Amino acid sequence: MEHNIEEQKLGRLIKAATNIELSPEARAETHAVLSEYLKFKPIRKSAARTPFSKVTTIFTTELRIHPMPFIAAIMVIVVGGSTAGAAELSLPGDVLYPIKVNVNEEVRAALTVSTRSQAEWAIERAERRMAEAATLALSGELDEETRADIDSRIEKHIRVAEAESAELEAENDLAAAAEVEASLGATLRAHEYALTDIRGEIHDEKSLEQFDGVIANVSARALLISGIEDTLNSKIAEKAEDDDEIEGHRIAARTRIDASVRQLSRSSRVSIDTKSRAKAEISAANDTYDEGESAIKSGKKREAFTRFNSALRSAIETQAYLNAREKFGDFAVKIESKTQKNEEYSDDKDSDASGTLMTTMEIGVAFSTTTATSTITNDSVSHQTNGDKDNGDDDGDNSDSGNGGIKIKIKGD
Amino acid sequence: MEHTSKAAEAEKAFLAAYESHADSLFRFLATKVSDREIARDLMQETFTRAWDYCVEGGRIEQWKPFLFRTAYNLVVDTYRKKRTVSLDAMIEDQGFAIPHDGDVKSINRAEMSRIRNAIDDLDDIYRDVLILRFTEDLPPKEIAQVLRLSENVVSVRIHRGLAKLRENVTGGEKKI
Repeated sequence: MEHNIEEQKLGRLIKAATNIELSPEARAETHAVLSEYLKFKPIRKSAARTPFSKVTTIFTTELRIHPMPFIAAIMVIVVGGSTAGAAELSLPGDVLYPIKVNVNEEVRAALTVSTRSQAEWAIERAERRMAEAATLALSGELDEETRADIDSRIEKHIRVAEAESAELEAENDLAAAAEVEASLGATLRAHEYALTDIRGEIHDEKSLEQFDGVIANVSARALLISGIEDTLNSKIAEKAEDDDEIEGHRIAARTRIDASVRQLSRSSRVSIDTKSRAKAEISAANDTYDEGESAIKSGKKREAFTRFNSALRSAIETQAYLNAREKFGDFAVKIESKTQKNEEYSDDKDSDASGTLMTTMEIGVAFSTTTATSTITNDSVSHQTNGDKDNGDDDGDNSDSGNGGIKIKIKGD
Repeated sequence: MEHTSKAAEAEKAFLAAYESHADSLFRFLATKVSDREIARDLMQETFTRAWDYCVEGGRIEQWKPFLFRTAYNLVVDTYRKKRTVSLDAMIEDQGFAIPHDGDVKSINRAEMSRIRNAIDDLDDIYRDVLILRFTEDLPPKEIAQVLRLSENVVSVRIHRGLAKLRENVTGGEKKI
C-alpha cells in the first residue's frame, strides 16, 4: 500500500512538472485552420481506402513535417477550395499556375512556424519546380521564358532554405543547420541524376536544350551547397569530443536510418535496381553506425562522432535518392513509349513483367495520359512489389496517406 | 442526404476531438521535442493527418489513442534532432503556468526543476510511458496502442521508469 501511495505521488509530480499549456490564441488559430482544412478536403461519397489513394499523388514522403498542411485556409478564402485544389495540378503557363506558386505555396510557407520546417518546405518547393520543368520538357513545352522562370524560382527556394540554415547556425544550432544543408545538397544531387536519366525521353529539341540548362543549373547549385556543407562540417568537427554533440548525431543518424528503411518499404513506384541500391546504402549506413557505437564503448569519442555523422549523411542521401526516384517514377509519357521500352528491357532484363514495368517507370519513362491508366499501372506495381507494410494497417498509422501530393499531368493529352 | 449527414457527423466528431485533445497532444509533443513552435506544427499536422484518414474512408472509434499514435509516429518519422533545451528551461523560458494541487502544491521552484531534470534524464522508453500514463492519464492498454508495445511491456516500463525517476530525483540520497 505504501508503495502505491508513493507511486501516486510520483505520478502527480510528473503531471505537475509537465503541465505545459497551449496558449488560447494558438489554440484558436489552429482551430480556424483546421476548420478551413475540412472545407478544402471534404468527405466525399463512397470514400474508401484503396491502394489508388496513395499512388495517384506524387509527394508521398513520410519525411516532411508538412505533407500538405494548411493551404486550405487561404485557398478557400482567397480563391475558393476547388480553384485552389485545381491550381495544385497546374504547370507554368497555365492560368492557375500563379495561384499555385503565389497563393497556395506562399500561404503554406507563412503558416509554417519553425525554422526547420520552413527550410524543408523551401526544399520541397524547389523539388516541385524541377518536376514541373521535367513534365513540360517531356511534353515538348519547355520554352526559354518558362525555363528562366523555373530557374529563378528554384534559385529563390534554395536561397530561402539557405537563409533558414543560416538562422539555425546563428542560433548556434550547427547540427540542425548542417542537416538542412545536407538535405538540400542531397536533394539537388539526386534530382540532377534523375533529371539526367529522363533526358533520353525528351524528343523535342528546343525543350531538350532548355532542359539541359535546368540540369546544369541544378548541378552548379549542388556543387556550391557541397562547399557550404563542408564548411559547416568542419565547424561541427570542432565539437567532436563533446558528449552532447556525439549523442545528438547518434540519435539523428539512428532516426534517419530508420526513416529510410520505412521509406524504402513504402516505395512501391521504384524499380528493383533502385531498391537494391537503397538497401545497400542503408546497410552501409547501419554498419557505419555500429562502428560508431563500438567507438563509443572504447572511449574513442572523435571516431564515434565521425562515424555517426557519416551514417547520418549517408541516410540523408538515401532518402533524397528515394524521393527523387519516387517522384520521377510517376511521370507520364505515352503508352507507345512504355510498350516500346518494355520490349527493349525484356531483352536484357529479367523478363518478368513486373520487373520490366518497374524499371521502365523508374527511369522516368513514363506513361499515363490518364489518371486511370496511371493508377492501374502503379497499382499493379504495388501488388507486385508487395513492399508496403502499411497497406491494410488499420491501426492509425496514416503517415503516407498521400496528402501533400500534387499530380503531375501532361498538358495536351 | 444520408451522405451529407454522415459527413457532417464526421466533421463534428473531428472538431470535438480537437477541442478535447488539442491541449494534451500539444503538451505531449512539447515534452517530446522541447520546442513550442515545432510542437504546434506537429500538433496541427497530427489533426490534418487524422482528417485525411477520415476522408479516405477510415473510421476513428477512439480518438485519443489514435491521435497520440499519429503524433508519436510523426515525431519518430520526422523529428531528427536531439532535444537541446531542457524541459525545465522550456517551461520557464516560455512562461508556462504550473498549477499545482494537492501535495504537489507545496513543492518549491527548485524542487520542481529537480523533478523536471530527473524526467529529462530518463531514457525515452521510460519518459514516454510515464508522461502518457501520468500527465495524459492514458491507461496501459492505450499506451500500448500508441507505442505499438504489448500491455505487459508498458506495465514493466511504468514500474521501472518510476524506479529510475525516483533514483534520479533523490540522487541516491534523499527519498521522496
